[in-house]
Amino acid sequence: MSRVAGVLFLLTAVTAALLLFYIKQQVRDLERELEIVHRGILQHQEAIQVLRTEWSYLNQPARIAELSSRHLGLGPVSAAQILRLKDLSPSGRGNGPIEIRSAQ
Amino acid sequence: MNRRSELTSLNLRPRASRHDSARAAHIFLEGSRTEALETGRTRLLVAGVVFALAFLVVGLRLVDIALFTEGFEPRIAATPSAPQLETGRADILDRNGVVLATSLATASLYANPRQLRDPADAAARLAAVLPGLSEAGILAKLSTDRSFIWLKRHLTPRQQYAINRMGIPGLDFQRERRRFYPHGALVAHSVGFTDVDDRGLAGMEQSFDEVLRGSADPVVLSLDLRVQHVLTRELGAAMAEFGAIGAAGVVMDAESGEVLALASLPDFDPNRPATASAESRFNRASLGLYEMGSVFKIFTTAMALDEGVVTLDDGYDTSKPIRAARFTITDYKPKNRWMSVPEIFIYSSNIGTARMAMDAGTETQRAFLTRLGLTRPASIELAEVGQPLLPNPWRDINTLTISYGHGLAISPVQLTSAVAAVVNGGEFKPATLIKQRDGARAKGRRVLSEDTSLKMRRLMRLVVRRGTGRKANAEGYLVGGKTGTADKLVGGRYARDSRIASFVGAFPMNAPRYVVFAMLDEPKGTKDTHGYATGGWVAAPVVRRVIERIGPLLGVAPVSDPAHEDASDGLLVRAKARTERIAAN
Repeated sequence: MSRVAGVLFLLTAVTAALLLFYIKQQVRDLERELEIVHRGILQHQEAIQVLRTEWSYLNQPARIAELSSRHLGLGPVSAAQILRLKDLSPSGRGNGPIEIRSAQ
Repeated sequence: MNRRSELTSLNLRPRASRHDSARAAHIFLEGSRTEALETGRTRLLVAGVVFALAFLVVGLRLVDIALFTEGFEPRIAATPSAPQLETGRADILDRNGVVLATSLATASLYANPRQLRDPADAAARLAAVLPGLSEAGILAKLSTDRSFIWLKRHLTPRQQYAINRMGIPGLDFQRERRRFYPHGALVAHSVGFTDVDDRGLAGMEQSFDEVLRGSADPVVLSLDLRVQHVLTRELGAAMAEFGAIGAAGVVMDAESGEVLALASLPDFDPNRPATASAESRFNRASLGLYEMGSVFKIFTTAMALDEGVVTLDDGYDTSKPIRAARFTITDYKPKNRWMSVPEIFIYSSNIGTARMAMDAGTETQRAFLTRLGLTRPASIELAEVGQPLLPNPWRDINTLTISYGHGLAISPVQLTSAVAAVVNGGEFKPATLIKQRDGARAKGRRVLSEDTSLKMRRLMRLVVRRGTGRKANAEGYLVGGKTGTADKLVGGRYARDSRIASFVGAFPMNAPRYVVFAMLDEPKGTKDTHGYATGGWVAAPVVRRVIERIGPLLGVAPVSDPAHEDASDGLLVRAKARTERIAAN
């Protein structure tokens, strides 16, 4: 009886030790992985910061204005191009205070 | 019997204890021994109970720790929280979230020439990647007998990647931080710049240094980059056209005092502040002090109307120049007749305005200008704020000259704030470069009545429709304003040929939302302007073009308000009738 208990006890102890070792290894692996992920996060945050700056740089109003006039043929909006819905009459003829002019 | 035998006797199994009790019975006969045995047993019992309790406690605690203590312990042992990028200095954004200033980690390239195997080859390959450096220069550096030498500070990520890929031993990178200004010169004067140690040296970088270093939250400015671009570009174009030595401009929200654009030309690149001249670093818009000329007639007229010194139906005889002390006050384009207050304003008569100020008095004028914030530095958050130059003592002759803008030098920001107060219904809002929360209206200080503000709006609209500011009329935006042309003081004398030409406008005049100020320093007349270099010819077109472009950007719907136009025209019709009556008499 006492021998069985002793063997059982020993078995439990060995199992527990093995389990502990295994879990510890796993935790260490995970920690290493976590560290890599954290380093990655920092790198990406830095990259985002650089990209945000570059985006801002590429959006310089002077550059956008130049690009839009070169490639799109667009220019600043003039007041004559803006109308309100209520200034348009159902007959199709503007009778509001603003003249309708076609934009060249 | 000694103690040990007693102890063993207690530990014996039942079988033995029966034998023991027989022995005890035998012992019972001897009184003194019995006593000792009893004492020993009691002591053992007590010790046993104490030990049993102790083990019980340990056992219970084990169960407790093993099964029930989860609540006290962290679920995951010591998780390091996700890392936060530490830039050491917060960003500066414009009101729409565009990055104006940011700190980036950069790599700087250095070499250990002693470890290099083939300096010539390394130099050739590096020169291909680093455009700023010559191959010979790199080779000279790599051939020195040192163990450390900088090759290039602050590489771009692409350059770093390329050099990394070469895999040349003996080259290495040092991580550093650097402040970047993606928009360069465009917002240089308001954002400012930092030194190599990341300390703010100018602009908001200086005045918000502590805030920027203390937190990771960005500082959001009231500037609108698009408006800033339009203003800077138009001022630059006018500067080139009229050969001016400098220019300044302000766009301000009339309701909140927020500065949407602040331009000062010539400007500089804050990414390379060391290469900028002192002239280009000087912020004309907030630090520069100028005698603004006729623009001041806005304040003189508003004061006279608000104090009840004159009404819009009154007028003055402007046919004779005013002689006071060593000054003779004349008109630029004399009408030589009686003029009503609206006429004095729209034709910019110095004589009429000076007489108005004379009637109001020196103290009234000083108090009124103080209320408009013209005698103290502007409240704007910049480090560079000019202290206005006031006459000391403030004599009656100063009152006369200040009435049309000479003898009191203020900064463009102060002027814009004061005009905003005149047109927005009469409340002075301190100028600010920090974005105000939507809806949170800054509490203003009432400086003149709403009625006076309405009259001033009509008068200013009249200047643009019929007076000196006709070139500022941006169609659909009901621009109102006032021109100003001031001779500059050169060596204590007013020089006829070097001037400050300015225009301050607000739109839309039926409910002003924005005030635009443009100023050119020493413009020269051209053939197109018939040789004129006055505010009406030089600065008013700048304001018109700026308003035409920022109106749609800022969501101001183009309107025509015949009622408002008629009301302002009515002022002139009444004045004309009166003039004719006087002429007939």
